[in-house]
Amino acid sequence: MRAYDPDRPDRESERRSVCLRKLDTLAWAVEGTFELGSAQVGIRTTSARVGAWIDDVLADHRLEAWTDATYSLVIAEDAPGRRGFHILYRGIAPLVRTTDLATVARAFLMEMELHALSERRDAIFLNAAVLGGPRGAALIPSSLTTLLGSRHRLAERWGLALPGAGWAAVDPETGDLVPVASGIGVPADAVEQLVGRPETSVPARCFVDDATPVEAVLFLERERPAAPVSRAAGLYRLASNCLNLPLVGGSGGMEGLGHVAGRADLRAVALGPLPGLVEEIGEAMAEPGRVRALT
Amino acid sequence: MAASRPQVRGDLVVVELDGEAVVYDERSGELHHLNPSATLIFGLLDGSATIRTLADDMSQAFGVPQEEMESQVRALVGQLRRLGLIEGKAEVG
Repeated sequence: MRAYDPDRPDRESERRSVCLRKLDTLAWAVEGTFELGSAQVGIRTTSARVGAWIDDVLADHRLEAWTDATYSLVIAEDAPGRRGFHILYRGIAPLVRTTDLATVARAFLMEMELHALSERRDAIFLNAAVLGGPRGAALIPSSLTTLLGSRHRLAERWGLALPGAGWAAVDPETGDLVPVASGIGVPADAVEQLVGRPETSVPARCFVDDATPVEAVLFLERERPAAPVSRAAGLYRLASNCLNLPLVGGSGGMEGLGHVAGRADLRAVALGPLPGLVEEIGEAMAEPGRVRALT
Repeated sequence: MAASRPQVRGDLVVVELDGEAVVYDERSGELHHLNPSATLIFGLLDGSATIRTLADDMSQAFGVPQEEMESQVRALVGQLRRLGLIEGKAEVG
């Protein structure tokens, strides 16, 4: 990565964006462009140290070309006034906001993997996030991650562990969520290279480290009340959000997702004002028989 | 005029859950969700029977007037054909 130049002549598209402007005024240290899958991804960070780490772990993907920042990584130590939070943004959407550097680093790497998932066939990859909760793991629309993050305290009161990634890997044989190796050549110890031993033994976000059954799948409905979701409708929606169905093929992909839809509790939650949405998700994720009102 | 004996394409991936089917057409990359009655009819489209024969059998099984059932089967077969999910088979003789 190279030093951030706010006056770079080709930064026109950033200048045109009013929404990005506030983010653009932060004290960015370095920026760079990387080719991941078929995408050219611009990354900037407030930390020269983290920039060097990104350069190292994504060395095989580095490009000389300029591109506007797709991802912005704010590191607390280098951004006074950010109240100690490390924040990963995609565009202007904060994906992860945490005080744990290992968590934001891991979330960043997971987000980089996203760009190459459609070229892989070692698992079923879904455009869905894994939410942890009292009853286990649930798949939720990735778009809910930012909404839940904006009410993270309420989510935590419901015992929810917010997603650490915007995608999920499913074992075609079992339908379980599974951890997968990097598809873009990131070393397995990449996070440790940045933070040494992790700051906490439990990450601040939900990551899949072992094979984990999907206890629930939550779908988002625009209209209230949300209609019940049949198992076949659930399978249809899961398959519609599969990133690599053509590669894993019908027998592998559809049967694997059929395991998920056939076993999990499928529910729809209606898009509506926060915090009602968080509470609806919290109730869906509560252990059976232990549903409680928190407000 | 020869009556067709509709047959579901053999290369489709069909997963059935609780009486409803999800069909994945690997050729087009499209997914289809069939409701219970469509799933039932879809499963009978094996190229062995004409639409009228299917409608006769189903009207007897479900106690629905033959004309009504034939209309429903024809509509569904037409829709499936437009989606490219079945291939027609002309009846000989």
